[in-house]
Amino acid sequence: MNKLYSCLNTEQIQKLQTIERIKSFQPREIIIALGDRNRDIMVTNSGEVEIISTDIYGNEIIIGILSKGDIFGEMNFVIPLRRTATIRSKTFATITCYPYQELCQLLVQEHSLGTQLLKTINELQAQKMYETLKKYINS
Amino acid sequence: MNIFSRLQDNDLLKYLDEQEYRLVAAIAKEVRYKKNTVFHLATESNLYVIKQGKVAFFMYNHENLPVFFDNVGANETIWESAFFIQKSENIHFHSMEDTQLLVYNKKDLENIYAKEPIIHLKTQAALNDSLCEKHIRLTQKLLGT
Repeated sequence: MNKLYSCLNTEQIQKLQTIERIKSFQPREIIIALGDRNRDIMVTNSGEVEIISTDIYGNEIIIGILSKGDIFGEMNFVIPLRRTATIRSKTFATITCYPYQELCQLLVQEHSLGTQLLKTINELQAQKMYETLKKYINS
Repeated sequence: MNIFSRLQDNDLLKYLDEQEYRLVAAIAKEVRYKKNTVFHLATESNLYVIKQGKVAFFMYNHENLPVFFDNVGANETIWESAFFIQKSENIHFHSMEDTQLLVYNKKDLENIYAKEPIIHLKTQAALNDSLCEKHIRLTQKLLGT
């Protein structure tokens, strides 16, 4: 299940679906490139995608695999940075894309939907923070 | 995201207008720590903002050595991750200066959110920012970049 839907009721899901765009990617196709300025949020519909970063020597490091329902790109939705990692399809994958401007507009128009979505993003960030912390503490 | 503009110094309340700010500020309790005090916080049931001072966060690793992983100063939130997943890992806090914290209790916040839902939206947006900033800092440390 799309994890963005997890805290939403049926009516809110229907409103969110009005701005969804579905995109397909072949294996090893770049979905988001490191350094991009794009701020859309994306959710994996099917298949698997890899999160790729580079170490200080420029070597590629796969720092995570995302599968059906997983959210990515939310950090750049929140903060106007260039993309901090490359996202590449590991298998054939379909992705639901939430365009930045349309999503911002929807959050402002629909306060209840906005609150639940931002809370979901915060819960996701918190989980990721704990995972990163565990790696850092024991690195 | 470009939804709200900062109106207050306090990172948690930064998007609230004066009237909204006063409502939330009224529930804040204060706690003080002398410089170089190590303490625990109930981060799963409260949100904390530094009114004055500086606080470092650390955990003990598998060799029982303290590993400092972040520090925050005036107006910043303290380890808000626990608030969202209701999990208080064994994280320790160290006051690097004489420090004064503002404490916002979850139930008190929920009472305000029930009356003023826009405050809930604005504080979630503010927490989006602070969580992302902290996660970026920690990831950069992990990757050594």
